[in-house]
Amino acid sequence: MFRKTITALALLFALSYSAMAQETGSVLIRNATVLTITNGTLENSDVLVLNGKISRIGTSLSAPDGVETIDATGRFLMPGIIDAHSHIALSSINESSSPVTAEVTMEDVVNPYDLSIYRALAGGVTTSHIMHGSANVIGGQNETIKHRWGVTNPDGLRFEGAPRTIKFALGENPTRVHGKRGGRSGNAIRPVTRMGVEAVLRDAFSDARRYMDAWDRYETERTRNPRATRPEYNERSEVIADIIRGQILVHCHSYRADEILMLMRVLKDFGVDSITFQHANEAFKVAPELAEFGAYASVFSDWWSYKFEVYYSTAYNAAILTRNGVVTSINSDSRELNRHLYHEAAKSQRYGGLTDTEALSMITINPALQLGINDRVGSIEVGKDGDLTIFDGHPLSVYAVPQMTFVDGVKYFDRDEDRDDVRLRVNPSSEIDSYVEQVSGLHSVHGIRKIEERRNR
Amino acid sequence: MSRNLSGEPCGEVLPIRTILVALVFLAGATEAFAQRDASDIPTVTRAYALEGARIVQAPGRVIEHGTVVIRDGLIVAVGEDVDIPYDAERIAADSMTVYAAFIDGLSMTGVPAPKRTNEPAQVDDPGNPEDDRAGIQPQRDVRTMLKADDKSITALREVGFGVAHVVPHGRFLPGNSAIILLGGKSADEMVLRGDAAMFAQFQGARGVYPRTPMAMTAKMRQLIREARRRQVMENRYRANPSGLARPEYDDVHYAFFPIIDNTKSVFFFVDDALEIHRALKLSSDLGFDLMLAGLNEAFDTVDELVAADVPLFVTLNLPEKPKWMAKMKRDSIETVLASFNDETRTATYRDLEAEKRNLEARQLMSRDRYVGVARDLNDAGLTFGFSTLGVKPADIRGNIREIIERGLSENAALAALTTDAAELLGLSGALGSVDTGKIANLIVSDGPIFGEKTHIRYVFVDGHKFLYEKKEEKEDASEEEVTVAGEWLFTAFTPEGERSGTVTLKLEAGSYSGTMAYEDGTATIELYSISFDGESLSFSWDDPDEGPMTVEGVVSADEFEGVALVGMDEMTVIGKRRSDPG
Repeated sequence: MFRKTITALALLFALSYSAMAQETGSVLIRNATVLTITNGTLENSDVLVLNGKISRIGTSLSAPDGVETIDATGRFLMPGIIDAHSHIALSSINESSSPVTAEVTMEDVVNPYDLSIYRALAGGVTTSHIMHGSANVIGGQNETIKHRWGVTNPDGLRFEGAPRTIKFALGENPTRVHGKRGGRSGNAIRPVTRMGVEAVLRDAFSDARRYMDAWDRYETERTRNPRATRPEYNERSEVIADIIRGQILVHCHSYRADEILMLMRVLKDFGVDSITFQHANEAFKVAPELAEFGAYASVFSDWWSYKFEVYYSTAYNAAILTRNGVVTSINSDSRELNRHLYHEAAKSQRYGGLTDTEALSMITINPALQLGINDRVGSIEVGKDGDLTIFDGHPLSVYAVPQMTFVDGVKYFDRDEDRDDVRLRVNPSSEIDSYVEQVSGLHSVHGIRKIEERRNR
Repeated sequence: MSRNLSGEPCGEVLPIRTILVALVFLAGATEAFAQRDASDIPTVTRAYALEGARIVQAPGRVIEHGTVVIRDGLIVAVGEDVDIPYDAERIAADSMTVYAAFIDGLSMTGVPAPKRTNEPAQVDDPGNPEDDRAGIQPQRDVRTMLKADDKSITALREVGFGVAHVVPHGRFLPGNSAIILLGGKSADEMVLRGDAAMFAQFQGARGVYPRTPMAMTAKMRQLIREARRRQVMENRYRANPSGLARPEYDDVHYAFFPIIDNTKSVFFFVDDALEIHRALKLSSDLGFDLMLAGLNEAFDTVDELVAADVPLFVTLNLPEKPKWMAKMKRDSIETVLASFNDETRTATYRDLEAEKRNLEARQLMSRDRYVGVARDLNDAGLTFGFSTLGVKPADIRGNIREIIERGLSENAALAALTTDAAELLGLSGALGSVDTGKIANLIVSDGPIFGEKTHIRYVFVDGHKFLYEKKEEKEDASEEEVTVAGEWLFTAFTPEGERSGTVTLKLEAGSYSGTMAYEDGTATIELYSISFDGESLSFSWDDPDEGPMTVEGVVSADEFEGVALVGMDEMTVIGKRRSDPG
């Protein structure tokens, strides 16, 4: 009896989740105020999603057989929110042992069990750009994911076809992590200063260029001499070479205007033109220069003064950048803030007087552009992915609450069906009253402990 | 620590009772038996006959009343009616059952743990450490690390294992494995097959590259792709060195040549579902042959494992029960499960009890999924063995019983421990069943092997007899209360370097309190949520800069090793007790 009960219940759980694995869905959302972002606001309109793609936008649409209809009268439909800077759903963030770690990729450490995915859905967020940390000047490659909560295979979260991106970091973080390593023990390494950060970047790019040259020479020589010596293979240089080749978009943690200008000079010297400055609290000071370079900015709405290099900023940052023609997004960099990015967007409107569409663009089409996925998401257009979210009021109102969130036409969040305990994995050994173990989902601690136990025996 | 069973190798033909009496005299009344080395006494015969036993030759293949004859380490006859050689030691086994001895798919049995150093060596550039410091040691060979008299061998043999696939201690790539017999006078004598597989585990280097799983996967790609290049150069040079620069030898890359050639597998220990995905992806991206052990969360990866079709060895380590679960009676468990409601949307303050019950029910179901991994794999038609890595030998038989209770058939369990394990390790010609011509690795028990009350009476390894007698049940008074009280020096390996602090833990009326004092004198802070269960220690405090921090890990004697959790980052923490436990 005991066994039967437990098995039946466990089976129930397994089924309710696996059924959702990486599928596409169809749904008709009727009579909503549709905030298309790229094509104005459509009152009392319907949006039909078929097999994961937006197939029709109009009025009086009817649902094909078997397609669920959702009455959104009095509600607002907007594209799923995109967070251009996040560290959710990752089992490790910083490989802080070296100032350049271009070869590591967040793709290898995606953690689909992280509850933050579900919570982001509850805030209307459907895509996150999950990034390497800012310990290293050139950190790892990032991963763009869709919030398909319930999928347990990490690859199931991948935003298929999203361009590769990589994390850079300037200023105090890399100089602290590497330049002050070991206190005064003499174990510090470059970069100790901002000059060192630039030197690390230039060295890394120069190394990669030499690497590319060596392989080019080899390929030429090989046509004459089949016994030509192949150059040493280097995973790190391969990735940096791909940045130079324009195959990887750079997203750089930065604060100060001087370091922002520095990176643009370095990139120009190495022929790299794709750059999004992340955080960029002083970007407003160099907005014309950013616009001229074609650089993007992804900023906080009103957060600064949390350390010296970020002492100076303004809540007008996003608005000034926008008015200067810089494609700007507002990001969270936080598993809490990502649940109310629509409030963050609204702040830029409060301070900078941006229009509704401009403000909402900063959490939809603009981050999509910065991630190179604007042909797929970021607006409500026929042919785009069915990544949508329904609010009970205008999303820029402080009273609005997200009600439902869809990814590829599949509903992953519904406020009316929001259960207390949506965890996909429950630590079998933690104490119920241990907040750290139960709520933070730090299951890996358990894993590590097991290994440690094993090693101690 | 006391055990109910005590084993000793007996190579002599003296009547057992005589030896028993002699030993009891020697050892005194508290110990029924003393350990004795087989090499002390010359073996008179290496022929044995187990007469009149129930013989389970292989799962589902049973001789109800037969005899097994062993000579010089091999099974020479099995059947209902076999001739017993005149010089054989005859063992009346009419109330006993004979099985093939178990095979352990992965462990560190017979490989003593290296002495742990609290301070890993400092390096000039943590991004570019020496291979040994980085845990990149795929050229090492576990055969050079075996110790024939290591206690772990006796302990695993005592619960019925005759053979183990063993790997070196280390970090990410600790070296090559070997398959060993769990008995022998010397390390060499134990080796059945060396250089069996290259062992790997997602265990990052301390403070240096590769620290994190993402760096380990990147390192693996780098190593294999560069090894491919070096192999091309090496082969070309061997064929005709004229005019070519001499290839640069290095033992790490060269150790990968058989991996690239697919003549040797990478044997990955994977501790959770994410590690399973990582290992499978590396194997398919880089094209190396893979074997997997551990797999404690394979319930979420069954489809992927079916598709991968690689040898699997499921851990016999079951999740530790939380305190509430360990205390709970079975009928209370029923009540908790019956009250489970997946749909609750109740504010905690309105019904705390309901929330607690739901959390408990989910944890019970969760534990069931971990215990049910072997059942799930079996139901999916996969073949697997078991691994004893990290399991106390004394827990093994109980854990197997629990796995069987959760739905794995006894035959499937036996197959995983014998025939299938042999097959997966490529040893089915010599091991895994009670058949003529195979190595004489046998278990003789006084009942069905998975029975709760069954005792193992003999284990034969390589035809050597090890006798186990039931010892008088005695009071477990020797077990000393383990405490973590005292003054500890804790060191965290942070990205910025080492940071130390003194942790003082006090035990009063069964509960701990304590303080943390940073070595740089910046603060002395009260600890909270201190928990210690005799092995695992965790505690938290509020760092003035970083906010809430938690340290969690394992204590053995006066040493601690674990991790610190700061926000979403984890770092290695070690500790050493400086004072007497007070």
